Amino acid sequence: MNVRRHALNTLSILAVVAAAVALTSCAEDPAGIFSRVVNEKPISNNMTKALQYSSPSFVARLGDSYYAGVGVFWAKADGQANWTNEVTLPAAFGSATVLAGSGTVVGGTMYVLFTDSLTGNGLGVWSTANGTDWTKVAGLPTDRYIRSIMAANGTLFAIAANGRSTSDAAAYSIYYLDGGSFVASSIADSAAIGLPSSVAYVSGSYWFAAGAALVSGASAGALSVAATEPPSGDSSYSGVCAYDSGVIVSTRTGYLHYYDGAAWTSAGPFVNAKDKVFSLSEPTYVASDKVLLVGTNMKPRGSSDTPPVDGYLEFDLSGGFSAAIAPLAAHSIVSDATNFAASLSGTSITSMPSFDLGGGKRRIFALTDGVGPWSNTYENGAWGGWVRE
Amino acid sequence: MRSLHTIAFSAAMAVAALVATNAAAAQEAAPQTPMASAVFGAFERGDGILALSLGTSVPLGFFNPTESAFESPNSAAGFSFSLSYTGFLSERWGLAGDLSGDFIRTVNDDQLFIAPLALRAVMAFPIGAFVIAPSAGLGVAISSLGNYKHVDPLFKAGGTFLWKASSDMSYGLNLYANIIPQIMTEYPENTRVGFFLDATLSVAYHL
Repeated sequence: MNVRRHALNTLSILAVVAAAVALTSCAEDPAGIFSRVVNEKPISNNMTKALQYSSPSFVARLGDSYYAGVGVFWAKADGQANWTNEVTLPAAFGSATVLAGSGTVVGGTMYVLFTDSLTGNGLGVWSTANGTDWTKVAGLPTDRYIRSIMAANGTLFAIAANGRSTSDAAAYSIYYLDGGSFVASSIADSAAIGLPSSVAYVSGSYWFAAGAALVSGASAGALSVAATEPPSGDSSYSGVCAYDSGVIVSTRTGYLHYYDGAAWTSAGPFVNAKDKVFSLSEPTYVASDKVLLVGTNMKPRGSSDTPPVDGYLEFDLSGGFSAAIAPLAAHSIVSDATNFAASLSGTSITSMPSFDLGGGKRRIFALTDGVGPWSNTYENGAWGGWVRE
Repeated sequence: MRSLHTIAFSAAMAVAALVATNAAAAQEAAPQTPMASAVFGAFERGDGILALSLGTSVPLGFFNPTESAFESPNSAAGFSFSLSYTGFLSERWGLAGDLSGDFIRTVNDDQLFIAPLALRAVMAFPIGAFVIAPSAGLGVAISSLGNYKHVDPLFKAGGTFLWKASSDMSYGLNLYANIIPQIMTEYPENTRVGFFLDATLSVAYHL
């Protein structure tokens, strides 16, 4: 009897476990599990340890070097394996620790917005043509808080707020660089827009994604809240990029909207495997590959609405933008399923700046929340896959 | 560490002395027991062994049926544990159930977790204070990597070498191969058959 009881007990336990397991939902990953183990390649060989768990705010390329704002200012010259923060900063900063919050390159000059880490006070926008000799750019108001700088069509813009808060409730102003100093545009202390997060230029117009509003204008100085918006009424704009003869606008509610100069086409909302709506970051269109890359971010949409994240969505736009576009599950254009699963899957990505390095070589960066910068380089006719910076 | 060695050595010596004493006592007692005694096997119907095992799991490689090729493991040996119960149906045959877990690191330091759950047929060959127990069985294996998991069939085969330290307790060395055909239906090109070797040491309680 004992024997039978033991055997039955054993069998019962296993049967219950097997049944529980069998009832568990197991969606397949395009990379597989054993196949992913087999196919993984090292992605951290040239990682800069100090950046592993960082949240970079920008990457820019000047000459043969990359520069990044990861808290402080970092640089990495071509051929170097690691990033360094031992860089030359404006002499006016003395021994103060300064944060590099925003930066971009326009026409061979790099512009960086610095902030004093101790006081939080802005130190202005500085320019350099060689990474070592800095000049402060004049023209910005002293009674406003400079939030960020961005560029399109060779024009540098600075975004100023009337308060320290980064909330959309503040009033924002847009300045642009004219000659050697900033000049106010027609967007001045506007409470009708949110914080402008990115700018694009296409078909003779500038477009800004600015919170609940889109801003556009035919010249840098003549900007206004866009007269045309997507008909869906979805207006949490997070980014904009140029595509074909129009712009693609991403939203924090998971939509992509394309404006071709005449009408809007909307796609989405894009969701994860559990049907939860992503919050989309600034889109990046890589024209050479006809691919649209859009990060998913975890910035809360409300007190009880933290969006899911899963790296970035990859769209094949070789057939154009349509309401039916869907992200490629295998991320097969600039990466592959195994590389994506081992690298950026499950991460929050704020932006994906891309750089044409010439000679058929190009590089995309993925700036993440908390897992540092990543890069992917195209050379010798193929993308190398995502690796840690 | 030295004290551990000392304790282990002392324990081994004590056990050896106990075994020698029992043997000597048995030899001495033999002439004083004229009646033929019953012969007891190492196990009998109704016996049970509950074993906790710890050790290593070695990925041996993967078979890719799409390309009919055997692929290198591309991962490092990891940690393995299991909880097993063997119920003896006779002096020689038993039925065992395993709840196990293997942790294996990929080249990028991600963790592949495999939970093989198996039901095995066990055959025991007692040799003095030792028991060799080859076994084979079937079950399911839950594999997990990153956010994904998959449930697959499992074939498990190998053997346990037990040293019966007392009537209540044994120590064992276990060598088992886990063969897991991971069949992917949405992405059939990802189908692989995984081969893993679990080498563990166990402490077993006789119930």
